[in-house]
Amino acid sequence: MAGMENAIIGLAASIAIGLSALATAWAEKSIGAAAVGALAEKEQLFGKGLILTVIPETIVIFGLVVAILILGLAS
Amino acid sequence: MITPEPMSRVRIITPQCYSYEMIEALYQLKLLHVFDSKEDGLDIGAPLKHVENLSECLLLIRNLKSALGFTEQIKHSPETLLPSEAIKLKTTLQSIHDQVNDIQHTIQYDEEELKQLEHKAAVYKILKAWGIEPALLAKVKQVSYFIGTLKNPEGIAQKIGEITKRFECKQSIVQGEPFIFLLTKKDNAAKVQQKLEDAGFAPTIINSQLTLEMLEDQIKVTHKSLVHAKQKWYDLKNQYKNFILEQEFRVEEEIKKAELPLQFVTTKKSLIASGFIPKKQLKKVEDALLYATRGSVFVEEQHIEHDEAVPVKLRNNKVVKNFEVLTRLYELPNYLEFDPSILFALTFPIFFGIMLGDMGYGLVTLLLFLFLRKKFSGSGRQLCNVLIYASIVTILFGAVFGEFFGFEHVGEATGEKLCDMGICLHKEIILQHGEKEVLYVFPHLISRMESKVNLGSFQFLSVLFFPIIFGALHLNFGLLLGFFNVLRAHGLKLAILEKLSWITMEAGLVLLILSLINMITLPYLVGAGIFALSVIMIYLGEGVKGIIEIPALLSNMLSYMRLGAVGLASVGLAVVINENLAEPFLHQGGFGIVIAILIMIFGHLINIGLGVLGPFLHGIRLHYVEFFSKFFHGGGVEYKPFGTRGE
Repeated sequence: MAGMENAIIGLAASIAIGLSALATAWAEKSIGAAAVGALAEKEQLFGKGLILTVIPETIVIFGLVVAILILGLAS
Repeated sequence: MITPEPMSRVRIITPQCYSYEMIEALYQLKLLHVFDSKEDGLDIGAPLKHVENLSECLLLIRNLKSALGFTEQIKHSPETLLPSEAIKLKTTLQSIHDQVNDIQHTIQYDEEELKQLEHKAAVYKILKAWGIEPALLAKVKQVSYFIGTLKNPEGIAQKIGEITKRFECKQSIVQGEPFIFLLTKKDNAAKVQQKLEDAGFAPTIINSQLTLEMLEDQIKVTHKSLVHAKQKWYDLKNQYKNFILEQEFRVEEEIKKAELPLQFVTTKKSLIASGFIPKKQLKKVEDALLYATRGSVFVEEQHIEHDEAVPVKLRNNKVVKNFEVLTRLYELPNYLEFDPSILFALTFPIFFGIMLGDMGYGLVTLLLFLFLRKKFSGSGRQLCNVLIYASIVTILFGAVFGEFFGFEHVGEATGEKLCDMGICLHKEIILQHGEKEVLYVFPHLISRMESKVNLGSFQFLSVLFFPIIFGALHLNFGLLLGFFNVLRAHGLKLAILEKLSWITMEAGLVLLILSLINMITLPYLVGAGIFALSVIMIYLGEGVKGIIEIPALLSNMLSYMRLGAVGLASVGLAVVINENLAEPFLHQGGFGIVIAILIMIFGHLINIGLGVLGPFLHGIRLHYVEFFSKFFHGGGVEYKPFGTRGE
């Protein structure tokens, strides 16, 4: 049943990366919209807006790391 | 350099009669960053006397620019405008303005006239086609006639028909507008006129003396006059354009000078200016002012208050200057802080290189930014330079990882050919789907996809593990910088409590863990004690906020894993493009090879696009969020000396 086991491991890894990517997208959606709003008022805020927008990127990176660790379990 | 240029706060006092000379000298020096002075009991200065003439000149110039239809601006003029020249300039500008005004009126009048004449001529032509002579119309006694344009011509004949059956109506289109000629008995004229007016009738006046030939002659004359006037307008524009642009620059600069005293304070007899000057230029400014005012000036260096917004002038060498663009994107450092540009120069290209880490991609981005830097100036060019350095480091890391466009090896045939040419790669035999395959592997130090480190019983990818160590070092370096920043701004006690406490805490934590897993022979209470002590220090330094932030230190370190993770994603995509998408087509041969090449070109283009955007954003983010939060506050005011033009 090694094939089945590997399939489940693959599925687990894809859930880890998929859900965290979705979470990142969800978080960045509202931050990005607000940042663009702020930029329209004051262009100098570009740097700050950019940083705030990419902060949730950490979530998907941790998701990727976890996915890689899970894949490491596969035989 | 690691800190901004040292500044001196100065107060310059001069008699009012030397105001102009002082301001002119300051303008030429371009060194004094003026700020609005406020002193109790003293009034704000008044603009220099000739400012009114200058404002009128500027108004005339702006009028002329809009009348002659150009919007350019020049950034430089060799000569300055003397106050005595302002009145003369005003007269000159006024005379040009009058000429342009006359021409514009002529053009406007001729255009209007031409429009009316052409309309009339069109009407006459239609009347002629209908066989109606204007001269005859004047003699009509028993009937009334209506000639003109109509807004709503639909069903007008029926409407008139309701009033009387005895009428004649002809309709046509003149210059896109519905046109009507209507003949009726004089008794019904009033009613008919009412109906026509309801339908939006506008009468055309017919002069019985005028013939179509006369009209056409008039059109010719007016047209000639219009062409002539327009030519004159072009001539004026060409003749005066450069003059006007130059005067605009000169007048604008003069107005800046004349209005500068508004930022000063005055007493009855003297003018007092305050501002900042780079410390090493102080003597030069003093000498120049003494010379300009024939010794009637007093320059006093003042103490800089602790909370004062001192303007910041970064001082970096040619290479590091490019990285200032990344600092400015966040914020300028304040006067008492380190300038992080040099730290960007040290670590940003490395971060970028580790993440992209491919010789092929590095080469492409290098060529791309070498090309783009020619297209930009200012901060755009600086950014391109930054990315050029980053691309070079990317090529180096590409060599470390042994990757070329996602390939880590070549097949047997290619490998043997290369070996014949004198480039022998390392030969490896792997088992794939139960079959032996010979590969020639590029030389590398670490394989991003394969190399692993053993942590106890657990295997961990090297590219994910080493960045954590690197992150820990980077963050502690940040804390150390923070220590010196706080030391300079608030003193030793707060510096220890706010910044050193974190390093102590890490040391305590490491000791505690090492003694718990028996790697060192030390009672675990020692580590725990140091940890507890540093937590108290953090509380004293930063309050409850500091305590809440403690776990964030760990997540900050783990965040550096992105250096490996973003790279892995990029490698993953490259491998998918090469092996899963392109290779099956490649094996088909023939037309398949063309498809494979197209897939590889587009695939790698997309991957390079992502590969520039991702590593760039993550690279600066690691600095801005993780690194800067350890030492950087920002909020500095840009040093803008009087006399320089803002970009």
